[in-house]
Amino acid sequence: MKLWRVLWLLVTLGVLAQGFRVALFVVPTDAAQGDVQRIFYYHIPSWVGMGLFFAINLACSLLYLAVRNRNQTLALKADALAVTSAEVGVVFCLIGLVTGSLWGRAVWGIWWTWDARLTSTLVLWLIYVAYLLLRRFGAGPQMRTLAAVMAIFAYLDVPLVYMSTRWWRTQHPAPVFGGAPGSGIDPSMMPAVWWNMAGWVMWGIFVASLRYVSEYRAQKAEQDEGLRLLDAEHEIAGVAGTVGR
Amino acid sequence: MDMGHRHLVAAYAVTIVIHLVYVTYVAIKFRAAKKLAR
Repeated sequence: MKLWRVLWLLVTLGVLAQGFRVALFVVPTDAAQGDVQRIFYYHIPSWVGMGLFFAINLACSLLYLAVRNRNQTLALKADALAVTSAEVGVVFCLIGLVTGSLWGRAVWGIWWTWDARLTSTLVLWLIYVAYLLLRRFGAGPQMRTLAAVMAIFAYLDVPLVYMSTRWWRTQHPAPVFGGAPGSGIDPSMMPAVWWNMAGWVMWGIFVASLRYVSEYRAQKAEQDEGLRLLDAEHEIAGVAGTVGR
Repeated sequence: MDMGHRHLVAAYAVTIVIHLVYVTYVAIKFRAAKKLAR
């Protein structure tokens, strides 16, 4: 592992440890909900991580579509990063759903409700799982183009998820960021949000950097193998043509 | 331990476990890619 990656991991683990300490032992307990509200400090960073990595997936998919016929190397890199960011985004989304459900059971008394925020988020997770299945079981440049187009459509659900608590009456609490005045959590609790947000986003970047290496190499090997087979086919066709004459 | 505390512990544990499972999968793939490159 490269030195910068080791250093990044060490700093990330330090930030995560600090986030854990601040979330559980430093910030005050919520007067209405009690300690269960501390789930937010892992729940909110998961959504921020998800939003960030799905945005990277969208940007890389657009870049892939733009350069795929002009710059093969850049297209391959963009495509590898698109797969990587979708995977990390799906992991964050899953954690957001599970931690939200655990909080809901303790506070609302139910594990799940089909309100606009929860339903649109579940749909988002399923769309990106479908995207990853397409990537896993499809092959070739057509699959990459199809996946890039699918990523654009998939991302349309992200603003829908974000705005769902504003557009519809939902059971979900008011937004922490960009909500109405007085919505969100108390400023004295924000350090726990900031530390954990920084820590988990840094962790996501670390994992994505590792995953990108293997994905890019696998795609490069697949492309090289395809070109080698194409060369061999041309060679055989050439020899057959010579013999035929 | 009441339900709120149980769920708080479960939420933190689930977050860490899911990330650890995924990073293990990523590390296995990373090592395989490194071996292939050699």
